[in-house]
Amino acid sequence: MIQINKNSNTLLRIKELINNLRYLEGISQNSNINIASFSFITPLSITPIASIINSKSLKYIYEDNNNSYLETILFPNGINMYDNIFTNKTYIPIIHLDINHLSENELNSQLNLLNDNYMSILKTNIITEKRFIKLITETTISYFLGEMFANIEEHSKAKNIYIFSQYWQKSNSCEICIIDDGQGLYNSLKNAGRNVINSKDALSSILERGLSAKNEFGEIQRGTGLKTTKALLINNELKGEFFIMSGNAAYFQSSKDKGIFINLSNYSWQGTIIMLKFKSPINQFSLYDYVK
Amino acid sequence: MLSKNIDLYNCFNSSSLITRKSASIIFDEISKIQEDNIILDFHGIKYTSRSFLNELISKDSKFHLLNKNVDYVNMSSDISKLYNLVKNSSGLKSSVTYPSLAKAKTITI
Repeated sequence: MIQINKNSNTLLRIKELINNLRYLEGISQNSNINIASFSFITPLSITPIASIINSKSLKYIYEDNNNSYLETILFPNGINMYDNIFTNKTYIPIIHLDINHLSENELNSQLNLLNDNYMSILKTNIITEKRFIKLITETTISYFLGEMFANIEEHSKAKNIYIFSQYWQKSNSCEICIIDDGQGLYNSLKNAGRNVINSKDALSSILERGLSAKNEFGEIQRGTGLKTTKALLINNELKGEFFIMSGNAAYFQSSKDKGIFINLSNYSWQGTIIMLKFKSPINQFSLYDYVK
Repeated sequence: MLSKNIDLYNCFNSSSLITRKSASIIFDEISKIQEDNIILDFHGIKYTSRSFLNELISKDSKFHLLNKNVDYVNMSSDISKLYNLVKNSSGLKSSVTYPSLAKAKTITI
């Protein structure tokens, strides 16, 4: 059974997510699953589950009738960007882009447009505290999103992208979860001839050394996207959190700790899951203080 | 010298230029244009990613091989700042350092 409890601690949520994903991995295509009543859902808790339910065409039954939140966020199928997006909400419902049959130019166009539309909705609708946007700046949020979308286009070879965002007025914070079902970080590097041993090595190499699948000797430096995104989130101004999972390894860091690598026992995610969480800064934030 | 203005917003029908592919498309278009003097007009472009600018700057050096002079106009102040940051941080990877992850602990779930 899928369970999501009321954990405010992100590491506990990560453990819970992995348990739920392990459970789903053992379920056959087109099977029925039970979903227990959910207490408090975050984008990280629910978006990967939506992806698996869709990919395996699972039929789900809610344990209780209080599933209105899941219905409003359009779990699990989501919508593509070109449907009507609800306005004046504190969330952007699950967006699901099927990019399997798109040409390179079509994918390029879709991702540019996704960034356009997502930024527009984030700033005008779901982040209702307008000072939040003014202090953090649109450029910062677009930086996060843009780098994630650029990586999907260049490295993932994904067939599907999911993205879901939630803003919480009480804590004046926003969480965005972006996932793809592509080749993952390890395969991306390995297929490019990089010397990486496993998923954890790939993750570590990318986050620490900026190893990229497409370095060219002497060219403008690459591989800064994930590192700089992490740096932007985990400082004492945005008091944010950064989580990435690919293959059988993950990494989590908040502004309060030094970071944790996570080895996944008997589980591997095909593709990449990224969670970005940030709070409204108290003073004007400048991404140029953190981006090198 | 003949000039050609490329309106990026109309070209891509988007106010975001996010992907490296977008920069490659611009380069391909410039390659096909007969004019020697190209103006890339960023009017209407609100958001660019670092990856896009990184790729565009890497193409800069190739424009002169095509005997093209390329100017960027109407960049917003935010895009200009990011462009300059990316351009100034170009070069070997060793010029950029980030905190080591050596102190990160490892757990198994």
